Amino acid sequence: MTGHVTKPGRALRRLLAPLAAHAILIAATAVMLLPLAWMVSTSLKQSGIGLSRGIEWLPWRDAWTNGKETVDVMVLGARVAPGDGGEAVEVGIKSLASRRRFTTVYVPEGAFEAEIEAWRIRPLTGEDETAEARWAPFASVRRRVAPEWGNYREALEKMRFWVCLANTLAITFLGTAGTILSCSLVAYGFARFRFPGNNVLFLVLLSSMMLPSVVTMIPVYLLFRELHWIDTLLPLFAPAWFSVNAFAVFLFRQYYMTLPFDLDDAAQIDGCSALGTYWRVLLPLSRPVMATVGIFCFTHYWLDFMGPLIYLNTSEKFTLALGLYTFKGAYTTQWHYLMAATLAVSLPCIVLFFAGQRFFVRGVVMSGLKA
Amino acid sequence: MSKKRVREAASGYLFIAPWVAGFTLFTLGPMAASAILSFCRYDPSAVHGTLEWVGLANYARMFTGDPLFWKSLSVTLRYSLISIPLQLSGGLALALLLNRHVRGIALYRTAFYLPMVLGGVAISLLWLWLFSPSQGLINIGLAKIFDFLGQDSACAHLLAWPLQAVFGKADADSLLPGWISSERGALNSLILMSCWTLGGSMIVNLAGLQAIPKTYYEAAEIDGAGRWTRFWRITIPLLSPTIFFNLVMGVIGSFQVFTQGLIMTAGGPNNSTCFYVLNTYRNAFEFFRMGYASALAWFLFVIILSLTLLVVRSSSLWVFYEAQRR
Repeated sequence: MTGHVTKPGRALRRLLAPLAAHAILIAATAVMLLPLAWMVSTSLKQSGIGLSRGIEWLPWRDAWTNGKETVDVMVLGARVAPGDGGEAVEVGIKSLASRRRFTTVYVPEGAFEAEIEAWRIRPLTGEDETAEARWAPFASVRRRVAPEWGNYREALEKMRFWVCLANTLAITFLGTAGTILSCSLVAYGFARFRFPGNNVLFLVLLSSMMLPSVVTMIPVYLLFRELHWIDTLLPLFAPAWFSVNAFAVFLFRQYYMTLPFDLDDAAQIDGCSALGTYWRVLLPLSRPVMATVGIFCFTHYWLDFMGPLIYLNTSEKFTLALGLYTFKGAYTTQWHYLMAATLAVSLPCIVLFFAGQRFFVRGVVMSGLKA
Repeated sequence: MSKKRVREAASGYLFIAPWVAGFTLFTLGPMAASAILSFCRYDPSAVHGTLEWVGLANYARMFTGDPLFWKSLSVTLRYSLISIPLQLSGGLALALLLNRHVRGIALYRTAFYLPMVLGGVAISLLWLWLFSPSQGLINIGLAKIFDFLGQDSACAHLLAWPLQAVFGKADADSLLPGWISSERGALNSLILMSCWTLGGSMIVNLAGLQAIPKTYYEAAEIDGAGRWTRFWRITIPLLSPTIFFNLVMGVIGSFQVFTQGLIMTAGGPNNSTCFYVLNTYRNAFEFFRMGYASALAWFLFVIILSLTLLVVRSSSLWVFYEAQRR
């Protein structure tokens, strides 16, 4: 694209092409991010009313005031009613705090239609009036943005977030550490030693990556039941210490293959044993692989759902994913709580993703395994 | 063999011992056990949790006596048949879109990948809310559009008809789709939702695209090849190993779909999203039919294995490895 710009059409194209690209990209990105934005928005809304008011991205809140006191209200709709000095715009309101009744005051004022339009509330007719709903002058109701941060506190409390977090952290940490240690050790064996069956065993290991976990699920469950490990965290991280993550072994082995044998020889001359060579020389050198495998394992154990679902029964042992699932069962329609809890559960992974994006992408590219 | 070689081999075996133990304990042994279990009746919840040999009874029941088996198989096949091509083409299209040098491209890539890190449970809950027929973002937005067009206008009906044909009806006289609450739309809605996580295959495709040498395109341009020709003659052949990889992973992944079916629809309405693995899980851990569930699991393994082998065997026809040409 470094040719001489001779024709004006070409210059225009060079100017417009990036603009068009940005337009398409921004539109596509918006579609991808809209659900996430809606999740954040929902999580900060008032219960009930906040959720049923249509598409409102900000957590609006309505309050009625008579000059002396202010009460949280729900705006049901609006009407134009004849008052003492002409026409008045009124809104139908319902108290959220209690079932207190509001006295209706007619204040003559004219040009509220535009404002009502901005509030996006439907016109109300007399038929909609209920026992709790009262008419109030439009000016006596004020609207403000008031995020319900309390949603988070309550949702986390209700789903026993901190208990779940402690369990998830334990499983994630032990699972990730086990995977890194055992897989790098096994990879060292495959990469640095000649023994009969090395290649065949490595092929077996690679092909085990393709195995659907459903096939082994039931006998492994029965095995852990024999060990009386059901409803403990052990079945969720113990296998990691036996190098069951074939992909991690593969990554470590490929990396060790690129390191020269001179390193091993030098270490051995300095008096290192085979294990010492692994621990002091090769493992410290494999930091990039450790980061890739580490981040990969972190998300795997953090997000794992089927494992905890099968092995954990009491809520003291639940992980975040399982806690979120049972929370959904108990608060099916409380979307502000559900979205707050969902965001809180996902946040550590999102933060980790932004912090270690490089390793994340590398892991996905090398495996294609989707988190 | 010299003494040194023997020592080296011994150390090698010692280092891979954790894997040998793990593989035997958690893969090989369980696979054999699951094969044996599939010929038995076993209910671990019963007081006398006995293991009873029943021969081929589990398999006979699967193929002749269990309509839910056929239902779950067809649901999973339908899901795979639609979602895999969507994932492949969508992931490729996204990668092509993002494989350019414009300012802030890294930000765009991040945005597309972000949904991937939420995980199955969070994604399911979020989309359950979005799909809500009366309060969900999608239907509120659609309702606004229909209001704007006029509820009885031909335009509104023209828009509603294809949507309802694919995603069902919210209620009898509504223009809105029913999404996961309707039998017709539930599975298609889950397929639509799977497009939200295209970021994974996008990243893999992007890496494949960036590995294609620029000189090929330059040479083709000099030879007068247009955009279209360059795409089909250079991009697609050189990207075919990546597409192959995504296809294999797509087959393995889509046949094991579980979380969405359990959390969002609980297999319903009327078993329209009763995925194969969900059915297997229920047989094993809700009805405690471990023997029958093992038979189901083994059958799935055979399906996945044969499909994977089919893809691998066919790959010589359509996957192009540059190294082979030399």
